[in-house]
Amino acid sequence: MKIDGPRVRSAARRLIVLACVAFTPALASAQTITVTESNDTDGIINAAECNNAPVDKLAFEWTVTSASSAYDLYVSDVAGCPIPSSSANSDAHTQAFATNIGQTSWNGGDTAAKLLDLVSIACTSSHSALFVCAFPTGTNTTAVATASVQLDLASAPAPVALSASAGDGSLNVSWELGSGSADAGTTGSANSFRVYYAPTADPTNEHHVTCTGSSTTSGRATGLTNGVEYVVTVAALTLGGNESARSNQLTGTPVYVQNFWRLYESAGGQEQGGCATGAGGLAVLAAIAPLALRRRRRRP
Amino acid sequence: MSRAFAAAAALATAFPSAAQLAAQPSPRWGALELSLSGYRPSIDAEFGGRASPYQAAFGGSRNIMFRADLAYALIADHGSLELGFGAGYWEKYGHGFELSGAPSSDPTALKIVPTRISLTYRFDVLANRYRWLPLAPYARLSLDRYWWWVNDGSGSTANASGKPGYGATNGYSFSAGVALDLGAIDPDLAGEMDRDTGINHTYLFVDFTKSYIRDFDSSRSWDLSDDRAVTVSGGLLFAF
Repeated sequence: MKIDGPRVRSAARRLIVLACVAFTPALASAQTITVTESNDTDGIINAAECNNAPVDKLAFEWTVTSASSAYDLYVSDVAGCPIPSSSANSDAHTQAFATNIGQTSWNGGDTAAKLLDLVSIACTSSHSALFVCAFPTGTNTTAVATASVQLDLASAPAPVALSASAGDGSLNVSWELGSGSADAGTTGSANSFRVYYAPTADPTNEHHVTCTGSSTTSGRATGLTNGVEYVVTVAALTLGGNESARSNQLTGTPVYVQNFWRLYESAGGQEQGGCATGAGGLAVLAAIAPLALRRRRRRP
Repeated sequence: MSRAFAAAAALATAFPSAAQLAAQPSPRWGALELSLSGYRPSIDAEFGGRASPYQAAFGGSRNIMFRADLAYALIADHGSLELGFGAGYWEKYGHGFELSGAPSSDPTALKIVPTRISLTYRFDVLANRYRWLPLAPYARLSLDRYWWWVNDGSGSTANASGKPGYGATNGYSFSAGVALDLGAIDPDLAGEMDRDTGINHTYLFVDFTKSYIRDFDSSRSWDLSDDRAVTVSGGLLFAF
């Protein structure tokens, strides 16, 4: 029997392509689990949510490339939710928290605090992520969908307030980043700042303004009463919203300020503001318009 | 047969060759001008030396004003007569003062959007004809309207005794300048640019402007004319 080499090679190539197409779903990587929080929409579990104050219930929804009749959800402190054994992943903490789910979503009221507790992640730890995996029920080796939920458990050091200078019905506050560790022992990065202000005579009447930007070092408290002294403090916020301890206290008193328009007016300036009539402009426009029309008429 | 030949010959002479077509500049219809100039309004001139609120708030330095003008060519073959509209932006930041006279930490700002309708004649006949003379002098008459507003420390529009810190001031200005045709440096490249983009000429220009932006000497308007006798501007002009 004569073997046709090129034909055999061509058939082999086709088989390989067919095999790839046929087994693509099986080889596909795990799909993503979408995690939504009840407390906010930032997708980050912060220190307060870790401490269950406020309660932050998590809901899960996932897609799969090959459907199973039911799924088990696991939580872990290691990506892929490995089951620890004496020989592999012995340090991993992986626990099932919902089993035999007959659909591709789960909203069983599991709180962030509960899941973190299941895998022994303390609210003062330096862990940066919590992992959730969906397995076909009865298996726990190959996840069909996974999620990584960002953890932000550390707060930033307290900023150092530098000045609270008087503005018109406002205080212009400046500060610098704090140094050292926060009270939890770990140090988070400041992502924004809150300037708190309250009348010195009525400290319970406190308000704040948020200044975004990790490198922001100044902010403006507005809506204040000129001549009234205010106490000002600054706090740093991490990306997940962990608030640092307050800075040192400063006091400031807003004053009436003459901006340029007031300076001009008080000097006796005659400009009244508002729009000029523009009659001269209209006259010149009327003179120029015929030129344009003449040019247009000339064109064939 | 002879008729057909004659017709073909007539057609051949009626239409320029491809090489001739390539050498022809594209039709002219307008121009785009981008310019920068220093500017400081003459607001303090109103007080005749008795007060200088602008100087107090903003100091004596000049800031850059940016302008863009788009013009339509009314005439393009005996020099260029263009009717244009332009707009720009200028701002200056300073600080306010407390009633005690002490400088405040509150900023204040004056911002201006200058607009104008202009009629420009540019004598570019020689520059178009002779490579060794790439200069096109021009003159311009403009009707100006400066839209302005003053910001207080919080960035809001200022208000003083019920008067809004915004408005518009009309005026007019005269300019004279000269434009250098950059195409003279490399005519082949300029021709290629014309074929690719339709830009006939790219000029580098400088001009001198005398402005009168004070609502035609209204006594209830401030003076936004430049505080220098003549404003020097420079920029790029694309004729297309």
